[in-house]
Amino acid sequence: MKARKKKVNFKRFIPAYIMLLPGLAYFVINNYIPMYGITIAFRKLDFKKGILRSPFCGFDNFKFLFASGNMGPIIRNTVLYNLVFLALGAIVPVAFAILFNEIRAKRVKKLYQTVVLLPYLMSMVIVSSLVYNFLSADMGFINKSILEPLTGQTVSFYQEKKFWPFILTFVHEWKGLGFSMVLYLSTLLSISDDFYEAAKIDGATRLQQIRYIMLPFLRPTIIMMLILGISKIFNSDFGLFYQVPKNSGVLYPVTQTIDVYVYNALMNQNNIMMSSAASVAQAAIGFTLVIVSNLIIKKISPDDSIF
Amino acid sequence: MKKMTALFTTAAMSLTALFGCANAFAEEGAGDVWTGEIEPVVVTLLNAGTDNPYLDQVAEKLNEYLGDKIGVEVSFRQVSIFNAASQYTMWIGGGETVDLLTIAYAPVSAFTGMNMLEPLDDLLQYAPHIQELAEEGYAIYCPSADGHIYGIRTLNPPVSNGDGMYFWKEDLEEAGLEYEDNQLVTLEDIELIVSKVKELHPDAYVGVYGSAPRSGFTIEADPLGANITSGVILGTESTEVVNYFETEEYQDYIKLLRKWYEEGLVKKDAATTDALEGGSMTNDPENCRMMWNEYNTGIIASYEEATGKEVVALRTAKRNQNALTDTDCYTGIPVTCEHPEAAMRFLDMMYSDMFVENTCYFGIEGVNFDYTDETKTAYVANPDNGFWALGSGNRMLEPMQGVYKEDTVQKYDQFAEEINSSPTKGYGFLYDPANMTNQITAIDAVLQEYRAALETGSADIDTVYPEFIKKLKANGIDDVIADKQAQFDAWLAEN
Repeated sequence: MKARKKKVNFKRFIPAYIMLLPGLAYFVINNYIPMYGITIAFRKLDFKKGILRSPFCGFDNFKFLFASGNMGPIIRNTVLYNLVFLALGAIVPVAFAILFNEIRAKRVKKLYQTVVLLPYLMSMVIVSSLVYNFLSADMGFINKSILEPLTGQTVSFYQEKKFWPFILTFVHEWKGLGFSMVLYLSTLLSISDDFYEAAKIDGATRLQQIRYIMLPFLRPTIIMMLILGISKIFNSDFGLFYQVPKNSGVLYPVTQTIDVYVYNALMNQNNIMMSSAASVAQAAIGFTLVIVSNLIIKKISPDDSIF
Repeated sequence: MKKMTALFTTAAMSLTALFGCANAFAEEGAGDVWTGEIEPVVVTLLNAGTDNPYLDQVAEKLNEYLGDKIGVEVSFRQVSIFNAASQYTMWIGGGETVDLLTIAYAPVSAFTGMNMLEPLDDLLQYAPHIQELAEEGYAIYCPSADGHIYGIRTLNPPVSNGDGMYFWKEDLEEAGLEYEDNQLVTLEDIELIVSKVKELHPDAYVGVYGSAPRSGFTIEADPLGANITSGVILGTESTEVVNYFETEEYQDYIKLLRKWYEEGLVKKDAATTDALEGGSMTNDPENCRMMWNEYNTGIIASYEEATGKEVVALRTAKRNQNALTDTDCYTGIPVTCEHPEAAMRFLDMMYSDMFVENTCYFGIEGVNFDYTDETKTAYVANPDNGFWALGSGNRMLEPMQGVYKEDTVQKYDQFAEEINSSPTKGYGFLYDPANMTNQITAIDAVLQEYRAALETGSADIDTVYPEFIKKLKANGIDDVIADKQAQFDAWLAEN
């Protein structure tokens, strides 16, 4: 039996549409109109003719990205660091959020929360200086106050590749933890006490409450963060990979990501065609990854996909 | 025949210039009074990253002076020298009106390749003084592969192109060594002096930093109007373009730095620091007793002030007269310029009028700087209200920084003579890298990876240097050098 179509009274929604307008205008002006600039990546730009009249040059502007196999280690670094950050991002902040949720003293909770959130508010340049003050071979805390008095030797951290995957991962977690944790914590705070009371009556332990109440509630947020993270798997936190290792060339094999490579290659030039080519490549791959990962999630758990 | 044509063209241009200018000036015999329309000209000034608060006052002072001299009302726009090239692309792409662009650290081809600059050939008629300087033999024009002139090069006093390693004079005397300031020495001499200073002062170190590689201070190389990335010719007799990083001189430099690094003469963090973090003669005067830097009176004055000692600089490479390099400044007129003729008239003033040039660089006398002698040959900046811009014009009109010394002028003259008497075979040639953009971009990335570590001695030469050269070749440095050689050979055949 065919269901009768309900007549929708659009007039009722007019105020809602009006409220939508500023946001919509912002997105159109800021996010969609500039997209015509993508065409720069495929043209030999001529300022006298203007962007749209400049001749097309195919994929010529993309060539420097793939010159002589430089891209292998750079793509590896970008993707692997992002995968590690995604995995840790789904575990560490969730764990911290659950632990914070257990703190009962309100003042202490606020204090801890501020302390954990503080690094997120710092600029990467400041973080880079902090790290340098710890790791510098000439005057760093680790070398001058720990290693030298104990072993008589110092380590040139900025010249040694092996330490950096760990240092960068640590710095990333330390800096970003506070913000992700707040997201998960707000989800946990929205869980009604009724669930916990019911669980207690049924004899659930604290661990069981975490497993059967908190984690299922957190799942949509975790998945959303994961998909958003996947979309940026080809991008990297420029400040983290450029500022923190102080752009030390020796460390490039383990610290150089696509953004840093593009910056280093184009720093001395004003070639916006090549810069556009690099961001178009990143955006295209990111877009594809979001669609694919969302499709996979839709297959596994249809309720959790974002579109 | 060529000479005849050149002579005829020059004569015609000079006449046109005189005629053109005469027309614009008062016809009633009022002298240099402009009777035409007053046109606004927006001039870019380069700063070192910190915005200058005096721009409006300086523009006002200039306009007061210019009055009805050339029919121009000037205003300034400032930009950091480090972002200028990319910022200009944004301005011009966005259609913003700018009339004079001062460009540094970017070859002319980076702008002409995208048609961002107007050819200046026809506009030169409004710049008779610039033409005069060109006729006197100064390599002042920036030509392009298409044969047009797209920029007017900043004329630096020759001495500011020199460079050397600075020492305390009393350290040299203590070590029993006799050297004169500005003396040309070998790398072996430097090695000996540094080791003796270290013996006498165990905490002493050499100020070198990854942020400013100094190998160029020890190699007599001409990059032929482009970056050393695309190859250089060595000395004044060679016409062979070679890979700068494979030269014996480069290898000697990095070996010496490695030795110093291992002996503790270079700081362990040198590759990742700059003069501010790493220590220099000005911020660590006690221990940083030796450092490479450009040779000029301003630097000597600042080192002597910080150390309280007499400082001498020993030069490790002879400077030759070569073409524009990518670190030189030049001024061009962008396609978004609204008053190109007025812009050219103002630019001409920057090459001929001491007041205009000095005000553009140092600001207002009595507010931003003071002359230290009556002849206005030396100046000191006001430490609290300094105005400091980099860029275009005839810097030979400027006073020297610091206190005027009689023998400095002699040194300037000697040095100018030395440079002018030794042009390289590439003098007048400018390489156009337009066909090699992809390779050069990739090579730049390789340099970022290795250069700082190698040139501060921080990397093991036996393993890292061969890897560096291999990577340069893999990214096409040999193709770029071959392209440069082919263009150079064609130019040599014509000239």
